[in-house]
Amino acid sequence: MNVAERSIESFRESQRLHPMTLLQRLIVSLPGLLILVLTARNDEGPQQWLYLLALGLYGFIAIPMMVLYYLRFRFRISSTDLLIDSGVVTRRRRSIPIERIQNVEIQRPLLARLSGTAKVRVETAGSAGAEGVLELISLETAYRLRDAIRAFQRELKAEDSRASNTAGDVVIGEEAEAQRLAITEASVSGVAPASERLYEMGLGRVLLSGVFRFSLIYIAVMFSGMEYLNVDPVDIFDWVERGPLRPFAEFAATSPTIAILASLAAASAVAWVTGILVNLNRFYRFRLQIDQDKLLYQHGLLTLQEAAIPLKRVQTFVLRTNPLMRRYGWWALDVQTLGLESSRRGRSIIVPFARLEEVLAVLGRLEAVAVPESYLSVSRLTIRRRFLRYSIVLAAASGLVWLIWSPAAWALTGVPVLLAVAFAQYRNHGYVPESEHLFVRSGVLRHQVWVIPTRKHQAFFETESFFQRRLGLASLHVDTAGAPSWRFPQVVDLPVEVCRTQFDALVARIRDGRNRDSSGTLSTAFPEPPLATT
Amino acid sequence: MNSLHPSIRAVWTIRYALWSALVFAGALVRDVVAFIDSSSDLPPAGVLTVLALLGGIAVTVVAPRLRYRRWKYELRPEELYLEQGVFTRVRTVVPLRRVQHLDVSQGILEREYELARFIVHTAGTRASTVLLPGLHIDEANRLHDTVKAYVLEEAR
Repeated sequence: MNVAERSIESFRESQRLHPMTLLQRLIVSLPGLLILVLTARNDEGPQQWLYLLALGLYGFIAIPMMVLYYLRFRFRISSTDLLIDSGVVTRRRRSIPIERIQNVEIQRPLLARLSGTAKVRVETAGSAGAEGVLELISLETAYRLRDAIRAFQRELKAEDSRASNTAGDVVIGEEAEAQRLAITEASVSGVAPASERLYEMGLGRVLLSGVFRFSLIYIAVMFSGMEYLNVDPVDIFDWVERGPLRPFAEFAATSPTIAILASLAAASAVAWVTGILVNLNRFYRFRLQIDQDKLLYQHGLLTLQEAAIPLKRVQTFVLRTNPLMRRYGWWALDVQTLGLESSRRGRSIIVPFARLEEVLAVLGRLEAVAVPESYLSVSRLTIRRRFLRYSIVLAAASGLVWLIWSPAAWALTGVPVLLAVAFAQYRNHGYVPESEHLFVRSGVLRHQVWVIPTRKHQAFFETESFFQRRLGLASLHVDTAGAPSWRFPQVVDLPVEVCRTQFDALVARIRDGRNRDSSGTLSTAFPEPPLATT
Repeated sequence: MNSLHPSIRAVWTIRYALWSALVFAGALVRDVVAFIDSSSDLPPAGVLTVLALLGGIAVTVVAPRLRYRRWKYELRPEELYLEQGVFTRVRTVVPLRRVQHLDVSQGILEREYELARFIVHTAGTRASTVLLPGLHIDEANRLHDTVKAYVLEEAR
């Protein structure tokens, strides 16, 4: 019996979660308790019986539920599936076919790291696919489970190749397997697996990347938080006044305009710093590695994230930047994958922040491709069409608001800005069709370059809207698996005859058979039923 | 290049008529309420009902014809080609190599007219379901068999 079989064997018996789960559930439930207590506090001041009710609900329902949840939760590996039994009121048995499992992600939030446990997410392909979450199990069990699942899948693959390939291949396959088993053994005993490091970020670079990540969301969150807690910004100034900022606060008090500007500036500064800290927490010690046919990455300060992406599941590469980052030569690299967890919308960041040449180096390691320097432009008429379209929308919107609030008419002074926007979009939009790849770039504030391998092209669309037809324009869209439903790569406003030519050329590239490998999506569809679940 | 089966116009006409009737009913209810309780504001009772009636008739008469005229399809040796759209015209090409699976389906109305829809699924996003409506059931089955034969051949 080899290591793989032993590790699978140890999951035949159904297992409980780690007892730490109880504490974790308790902590997670605390915000809920807070909300209960806060709702009990109504306008006429605290009412004792409401508090009692809240605490009663919590003590007699929530806490026993946590214990029952822990007692009911079981997981094990059967001959084909990962089985998870859970649920207190509604009982549920979820079976996830092991051959369909795409990714086993090991997450380590703060509590888990303090207690030597981990949260494991088991992801399958398909946006609505079953997904298993084990929270929490001991770290050692987590690694063992991941290795067991990988070993199981390798065995399936080996059986496949034994069935279809020649004898020579089998030998190679077994050799590779022996090698991998050695690696598995190594990783269980705590030694890092032998894999090539593609990119990593030091502390300085993580902080720097946060500097470029200014988000207005934090301002909004801060203001709504103050609103809820009934904190008046003036009170904060009062509080600050006692400190060295007193002269400034007095100055601010003399003019309401300055006061508003000052509090906006303060909020922006706080939001900026918050952004840097959030970014630090997320990407601390980012590491990207390649291990045979899988991309592995891990990062995080309080919550350590680890994930693996099988290379053949990658559909599209996206180079991404914003005007400020671009100005200083910084870019990021995303991959669009099929299946994986739907909340990530099929996009995973594999290089969060790097010099363009570093991004290109990583890309070059994953795909034989040279990203072009210059792009073909679309028709200049696109400026006119976009400008008209935005103007109509602005006029309609401000017209509606004007009915109730007449100063809204001033919004029309923004029309020249729309022209500038339309022009900038034209300048940033372009495409390059090559035989193995299609490159599309677009976007001003979120500038993206899509690298779409021809073998991943699924279908082609050419659209001519009513207005485009008036100007002799058309748009070209190449569909890929796992693409977002908006902001997908599209070449907008080509002259119609150019669009036809490019369209036919793209179709012909699939026809000539060199790019026949559409795999990495689903395997051949017909010989077996698409989803042979239980 | 092929057109759809002419009967699809009848199916679409019935479908538009039903939707129009629904909108008309809604407008009628609102106007009756507005007529009884005259304190409500714009628009005056009756306007919506008349608009819904006229609009409904216009759409029911015109839309099926326009859509029928714009719909074209062709099964080429290596791909399925579709052309459609009244305001926004869309040309779609699905390489048969990329087809994951196929459906032929019939609604209640379509069954009455011996029509069917041919549906092609790919791994793509927008093209995860590509629909070709208004085929005679025999034609739909012929397309299904041809494409299936191609895909099975390709998978080997």
